[in-house]
Amino acid sequence: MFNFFKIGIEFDFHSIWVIIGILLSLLFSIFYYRFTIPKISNNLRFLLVFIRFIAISSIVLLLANARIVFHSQSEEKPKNLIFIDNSASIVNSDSSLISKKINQIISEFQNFNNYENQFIFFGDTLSGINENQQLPNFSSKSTNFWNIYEFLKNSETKIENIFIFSDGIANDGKIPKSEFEEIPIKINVIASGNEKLKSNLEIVSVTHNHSFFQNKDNPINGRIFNNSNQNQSFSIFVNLGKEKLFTQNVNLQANEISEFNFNIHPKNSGISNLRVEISKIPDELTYTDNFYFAPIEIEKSKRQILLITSSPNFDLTFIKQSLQKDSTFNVNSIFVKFDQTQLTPEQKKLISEAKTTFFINFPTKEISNQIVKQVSELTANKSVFIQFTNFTDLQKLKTLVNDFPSKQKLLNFPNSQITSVQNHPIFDGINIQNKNFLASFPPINLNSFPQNVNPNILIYSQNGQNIFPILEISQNSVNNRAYFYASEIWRWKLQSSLENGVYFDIFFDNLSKWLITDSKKNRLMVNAQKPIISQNETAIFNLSVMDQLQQPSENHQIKLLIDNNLVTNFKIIEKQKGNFQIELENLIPGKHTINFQAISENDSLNKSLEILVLQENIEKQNLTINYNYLQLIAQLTNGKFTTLNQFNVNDYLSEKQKPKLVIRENNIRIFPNEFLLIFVIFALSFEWFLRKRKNLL
Amino acid sequence: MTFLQWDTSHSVGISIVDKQHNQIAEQINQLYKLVGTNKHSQIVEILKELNKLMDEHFSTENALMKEHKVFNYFSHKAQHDRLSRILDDNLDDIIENRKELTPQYLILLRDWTINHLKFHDKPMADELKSKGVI
Repeated sequence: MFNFFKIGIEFDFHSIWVIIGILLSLLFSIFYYRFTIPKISNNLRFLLVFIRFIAISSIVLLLANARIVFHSQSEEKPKNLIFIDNSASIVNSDSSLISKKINQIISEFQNFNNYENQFIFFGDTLSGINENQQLPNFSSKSTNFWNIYEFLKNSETKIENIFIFSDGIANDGKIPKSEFEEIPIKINVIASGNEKLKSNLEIVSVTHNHSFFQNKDNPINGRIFNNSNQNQSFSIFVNLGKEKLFTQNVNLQANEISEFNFNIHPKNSGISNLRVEISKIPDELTYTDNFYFAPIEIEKSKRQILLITSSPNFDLTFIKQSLQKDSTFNVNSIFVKFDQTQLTPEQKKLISEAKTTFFINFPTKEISNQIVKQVSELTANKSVFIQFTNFTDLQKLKTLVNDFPSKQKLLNFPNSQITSVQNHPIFDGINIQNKNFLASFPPINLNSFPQNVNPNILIYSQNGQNIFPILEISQNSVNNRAYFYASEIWRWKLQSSLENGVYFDIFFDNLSKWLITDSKKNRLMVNAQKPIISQNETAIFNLSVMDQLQQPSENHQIKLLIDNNLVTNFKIIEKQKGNFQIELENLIPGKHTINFQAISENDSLNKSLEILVLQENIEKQNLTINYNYLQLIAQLTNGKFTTLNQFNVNDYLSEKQKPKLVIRENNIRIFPNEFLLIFVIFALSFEWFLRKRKNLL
Repeated sequence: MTFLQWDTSHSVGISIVDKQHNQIAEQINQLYKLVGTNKHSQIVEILKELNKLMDEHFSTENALMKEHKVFNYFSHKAQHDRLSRILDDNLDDIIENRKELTPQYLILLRDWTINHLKFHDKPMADELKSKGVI
């Protein structure tokens, strides 16, 4: 209700100057028309003086900005602004209790009729109570404190009290801090939400090789985050399948990330699940991030390679020496005596344990059929290398290896004419175009490999139209075979050495690795550190890629397709040779198929896996009240800080509070400036017209 | 392919020494062809010839070095003496103990010859040439 109690005229200058101005304009007008030639009537003189006076006075009023001021006074209720956090985080636990308490406080505010209470809900936006929403529903997916700051900064209304009910979890927009100092009103902050501090332990990452070695130390590194304000004690458990491998008690400082490194020593080979777990702590917020799983292949520490021959020879010596240079091989040899009719138990054991067997000039005609049969049975489904020479007994060899190619003709070394080498992983690390490599092969001369040669023939000699294989391979789902139709392989070693190369060693190392390869083995392995992540989380994948010899590859390029779309903005970190960590950010919520491709010049591998990105309410990520921030707001504005349970409206509002008398000013311009200006122009024009008519110009 | 290829790059520039080096390389290549075969008597003949050539060669070099007071005479001569002992021992083993000629022995001969040429004979020849020996 308004009561006008005072009306006046105001100017920009003191009124005395305006009066002087008007008087001077009057005097000037009278003086101006006191004497005129020709003489004019008094009426006309009066009219001209009047017009001139009015025009000049109007200019004075225009300059003085004359206006009528109405003063009114009214009684107004003191205004309270009550900001209520309407975000989901506030009711993450004890939801009904907190919701009930806030609704009750709203009612208590409303009971104070002597105040004007404006309730404003805030989350991602600010909104007042309206018909649709009388009470907060705690559904906002984010909380923006900047909106509050801007609202208060721009507010022209006189505000008595400001209250903010919030958990202080600001996760949208800029977060005002010192800016609150600009607000000249005390802000009372009431911490609302989960007052009890929640804690969370999280396995941030676990790094390890995709393959482990049996009975060897295999390193695992990881990071654990103690997302709580308290120091925590917990245990790390590592299991491989059902086998418990490792347990460690850890003390971790509040809000700190700790790295853990340990070695596990698997007893059994094969594929097994690695499980890293950290124990649950009291008040653990979520237990799902306390686990890490990954399938692991555990390989025998050294791959057994056996060389069988019937008598000591240089080929065996040199091949064995070459293979022994690879620390991942355990190389043994057996000499089967001519008079032997049964394999010794030790020989049987060696043959059974061997992953691959090299038959060096074996069997010769002196070897008994029983021995050949026994060896054949023990090596039936295994990968073998067969050196076929003039001394090898073909019939017995066919008994030993039933799929031995029958139509082979041995070369008469070293008289072969033209020989070449076909590209194959067995020649990795050897530049087969290098003349030295080809020249170092005992019977080889350089030539290009014709298209029509069987792709399994990797090295051959050509005489006219005849192709004489030197190295032929075969591969099936059960085993790999390599047939070497040449004697005196050791000469190649000498040639190789002569050329300052190590081709012989590389070749037999590669050949052995190829023989050991398992065609069923997956060479591209990928696993997601977390198959289910939330919207703002980075998806982390461990990827390992092996070349065709099933060795960690450094030649493959990694490409990623998400839902069939090529992605380029991913982070790739090479942990070890052929072992990568891939990080993908900003994945949109939903289920995604991620296709990993490893591509090299002659090889292409791909593997797909699915990852689920939850459209998780980010408000649910932080579940404890951010006391520090809320206290800061109260402190910067000299307001009070309390918690929802301790809050009492009566401490802030009083029933005795009387309405305040508010004096308002209402300015009305006497004449708008534009009107005055037009009037002056018209008045002076009319004066000019009269003077012209009366010959006064 | 020849096992020990001897060409002009191996020349030290002193005709008598180069001629002897050539003869030694030829004998090593002859042995390479026979290693792994049963031609024992032929191997022994070549080994004897090789040892004889080596002795002559070492004597030639030692005499040249002594006459012209070559700086590294004693260490160079010690190398010659050491290989002479190895050659003699190996020949005894093959003749008396009927041991097989091994590729490893050939590698030893080849590597020793090439390294000796590079690190001893060439510096020696340079010094001799500077003193007017051709």
